[in-house]
Amino acid sequence: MDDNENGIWLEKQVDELSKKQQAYENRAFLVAMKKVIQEQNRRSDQLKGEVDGRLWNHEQW
Amino acid sequence: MKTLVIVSHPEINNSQTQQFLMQGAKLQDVTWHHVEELAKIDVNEEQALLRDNDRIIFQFPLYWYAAPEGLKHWEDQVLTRNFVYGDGDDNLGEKEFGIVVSTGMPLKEFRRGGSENITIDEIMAPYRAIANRAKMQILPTFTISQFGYFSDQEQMQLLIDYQRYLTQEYPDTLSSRQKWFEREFTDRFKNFNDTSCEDCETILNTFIQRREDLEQLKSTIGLIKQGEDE
Repeated sequence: MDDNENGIWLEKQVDELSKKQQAYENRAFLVAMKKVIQEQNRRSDQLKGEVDGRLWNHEQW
Repeated sequence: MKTLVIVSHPEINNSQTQQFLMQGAKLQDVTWHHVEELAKIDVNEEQALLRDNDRIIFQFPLYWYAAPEGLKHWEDQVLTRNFVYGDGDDNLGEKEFGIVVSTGMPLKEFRRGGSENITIDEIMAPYRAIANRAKMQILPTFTISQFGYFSDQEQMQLLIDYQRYLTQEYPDTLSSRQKWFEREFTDRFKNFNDTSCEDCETILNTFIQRREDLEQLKSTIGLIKQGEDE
């Protein structure tokens, strides 16, 4: 499983878990956690893009 | 870390916002302290309570650009000059200070050109001045505007944002958020509905792994940047 698949799997698991919750606070917690996972996934893509961009910086060739 | 929430509201039982927040504040290491309920303010007791906590929060609805009189009365009694700075001891130094304020007007009106034409930060200046005098670390103000108009989704988000404001490490970065959710997930997953929750441990470990991966990427970028400077 590559890195992004991990993030997508995690988001799905937490989403499913949140839907099973009857207690309001547990549901709220997991819905908020899902947003942090989405933020992680977005940040991961951005940082990987930055690594690529910097490694291919022609001014450094 | 221990948090003390000093709440001021003259009719707290009729306040939907405060009742909602009170449920949210039922956390380990959080003390809810409603000043209007105190029959008498025992200065020594109140000061001991302040000393005993690491993060002090003032929480109130905004009445004419200030807190209700109950909080001012409490301040005038408890925050004696000697206690705050006069006796040479920084009784409150190194502690954190935050404000949770609710407003009846939309947040967008609290800015230059808005119908209030004043910012929340400007209104909160006297509280910040006290915290500053006491050498406390000031946290950004947590504003709740027009709670009555919140959707279910927004209320849920508010509950968790509020809990993070009370107990999460400052400043509020992705890294602090991740660590807060890691800690809380560990504590809370015993109470999740799906009691077997076979995946909970894997979920937690993957979540931690994701944070570590991000840290690794950041450190890689740091190294590349260093190389670019050379």
